[in-house]
Amino acid sequence: MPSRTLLRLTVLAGLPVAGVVVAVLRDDLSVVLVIAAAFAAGHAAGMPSRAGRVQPLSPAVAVAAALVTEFAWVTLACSGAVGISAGWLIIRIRQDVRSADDLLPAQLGGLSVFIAVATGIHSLAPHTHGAGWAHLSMVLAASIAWYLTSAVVGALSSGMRQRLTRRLVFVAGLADWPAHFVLLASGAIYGVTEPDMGWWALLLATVPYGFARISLRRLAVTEETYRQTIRTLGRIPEAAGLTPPGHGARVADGSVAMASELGFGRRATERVEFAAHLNDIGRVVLADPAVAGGGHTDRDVAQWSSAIIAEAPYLEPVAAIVNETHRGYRRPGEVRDEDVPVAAQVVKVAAAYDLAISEGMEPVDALEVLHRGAAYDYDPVIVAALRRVLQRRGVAGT
Amino acid sequence: MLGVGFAGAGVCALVGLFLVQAVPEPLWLWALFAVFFVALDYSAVEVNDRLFVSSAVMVAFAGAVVFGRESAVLAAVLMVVPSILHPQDLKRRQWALALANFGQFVVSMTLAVTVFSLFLPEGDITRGDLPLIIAGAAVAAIVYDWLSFRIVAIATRVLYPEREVRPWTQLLPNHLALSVLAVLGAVLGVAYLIVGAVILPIGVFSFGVGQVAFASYAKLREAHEATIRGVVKAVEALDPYTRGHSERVAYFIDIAAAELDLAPERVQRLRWAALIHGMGRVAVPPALLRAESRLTADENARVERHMRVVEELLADVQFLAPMVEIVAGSRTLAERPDAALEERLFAAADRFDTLTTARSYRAAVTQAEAFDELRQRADEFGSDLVEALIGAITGRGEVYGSPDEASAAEVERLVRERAMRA
Repeated sequence: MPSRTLLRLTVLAGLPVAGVVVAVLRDDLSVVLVIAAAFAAGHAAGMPSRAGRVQPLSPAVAVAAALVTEFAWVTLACSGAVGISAGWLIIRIRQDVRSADDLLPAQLGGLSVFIAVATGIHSLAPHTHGAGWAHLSMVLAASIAWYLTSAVVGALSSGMRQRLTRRLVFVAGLADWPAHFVLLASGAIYGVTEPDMGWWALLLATVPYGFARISLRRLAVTEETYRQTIRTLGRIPEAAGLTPPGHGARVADGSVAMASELGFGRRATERVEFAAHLNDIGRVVLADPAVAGGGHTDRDVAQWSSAIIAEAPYLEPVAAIVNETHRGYRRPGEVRDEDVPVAAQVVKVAAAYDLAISEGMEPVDALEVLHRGAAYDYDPVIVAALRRVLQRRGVAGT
Repeated sequence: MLGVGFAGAGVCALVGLFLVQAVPEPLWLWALFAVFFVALDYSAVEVNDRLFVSSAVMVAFAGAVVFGRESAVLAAVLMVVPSILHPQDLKRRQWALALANFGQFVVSMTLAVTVFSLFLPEGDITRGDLPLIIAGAAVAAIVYDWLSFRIVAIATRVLYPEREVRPWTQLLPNHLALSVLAVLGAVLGVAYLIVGAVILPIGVFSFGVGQVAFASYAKLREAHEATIRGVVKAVEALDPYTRGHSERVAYFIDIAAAELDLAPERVQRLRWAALIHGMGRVAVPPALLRAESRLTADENARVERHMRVVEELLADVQFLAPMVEIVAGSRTLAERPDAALEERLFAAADRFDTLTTARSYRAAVTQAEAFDELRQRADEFGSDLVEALIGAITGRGEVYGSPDEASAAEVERLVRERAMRA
């Protein structure tokens, strides 16, 4: 791709050369190089944030540098150009080209917006020299701008378009706020205290950052493990031969896509995903003739699954969804049964579709089965969402 | 009783402080610090029974610096007072504990900050005073830590005499954290005096995020374990013969581990191995689970194959992988003389419970017979582990299995007769 090559060339040669030339002309090369080194290290070192992503530390460096240099925008721009290029190179060498390239657009865009906003506000109100509060609000405004920019850029350049809508990627990008604003605060602590306290500022800035980093990292790891566990528990009925192989994963995948199509938030999407995985866990109990006697209904499965899930109080909302998956979306004479959550219908439709496909039906026929149930079983609005997902994925005949 | 005594000591300390120290000025600033303190204290994370890691200490030390030597102790200790209304205590209606906690908190804070205030300079604080102040905070943190754990240990012993006071085996990280917090608080206080109030919101924010993230991590970890436990319980309920089996195995492991003085995290891992080792049964056809005669070698292999499918699945979960390894390893002990202690202890506990409970194809054996078998297989399980398990059971005066051989024989005869009728 020529545009990608161009970007790499710019980052590798153009930006640092321009930065150094300007710095030499302005005679502040040493300052620029020190800040650039911090940028490079900050860009290459990441802080774990939600959903396994990595948040580079450069916002902290930018905030600290803006405060210490009193918003000297040329210095900031030069050091950013040199530093982020160097950081890109470090990641490229240490990991791979892709992770280096993935981080870059959001970082360069965010930093540019940050410098523009921060120095812009500062030049509008230049008389606040030395006033901590005024400076703090300037970097806060600029950081929010950076934050929004990186979420937008992330949504635009996301490679997940197939599965998730841009809106969801944007919202997921916004969910990273704790990491971003902890970096802002750490940079601000350093920038505010450095002029008066010298090296002690480093201690003040790094200890809270370290604590937040450890906590966020543990949280991210636990979230990932939890997700893994749910996925695995969802596969137990498959291992026992009670549902078709891969059923849980496919239902979850379909449910998440439909939830995103229907505009669910991040939390609600996660609940739908969990519910889809654990929807059939109750079959494990019902497989036993001693328990189920002469067979069991969908209602039994839903209730047993729900009871097992509800053992974890944290998953009660998921259990509530699963508990309603056996119900139709309305009863005779109603437009819609308000007691049946939309999430339960999403899982029900996704599961019914996958079971039809597992029985060897074509996608068109499977959709027809769902449409035939539109009287009471499957909400047409949700079946339509499924159809849109299938169309976007290019499934034949839909 | 004890709570009242502790609280009395706390009140005495407070009254004494009012006599010797000046009231912190300005009052609104103190109130602000107190709000931060209470917010951090109430959101503290419980590490294990009643042991909280609270970053509130940081605010107390910052306050001590900000309000100066004359009112440092009073300023810090007054922030502690609202801790008597700790939501956790109120929710659990532990009035005595709330009082004891209040007294403990006030007394240790008084002594610690008194030590700290000796390191504070008389007049205005400058950057040059920092090394001395930091040293003071570190020393004071040690005093605080030592004192509160002493007092908590005494309180636990009085309130729960039946409980062994051993919960604080791994306190070093907490000691360290507390010292870092105290030092950080002191430096923050100095920064407040030199730089101004602008330091407060950013300092509190970045710490707050850390604390909230830590609390949600602790909550999520609990939820994760509860989820697995829920499925385990459901699977367990399937088979009347093995109901409660995993929990009993976990119990035997627990008491044997106490005898062997195993590290808590190893016991924890073993306990989980015990909980999940029956999960494989979901994949075993019910006919095999309920077989009325002893399984043939071929059938046994089939059962094991089914179980392994589920175990391999569970091993995909990072958290469960080491536990699955213990369970899998415990099956091949005879071939591996160098098997890990975990695998051998798990196998011994599992075997003991299997022997002492009835199966669909045989009755339970007596405890003496079970002990005999364990001793015979001491090469496999390790004689020290076998003796630890036996010692733990007999030491507690507990009896498992059939009460006597006669009834075991009777059950055996009935089972045979039923088989013949069928």
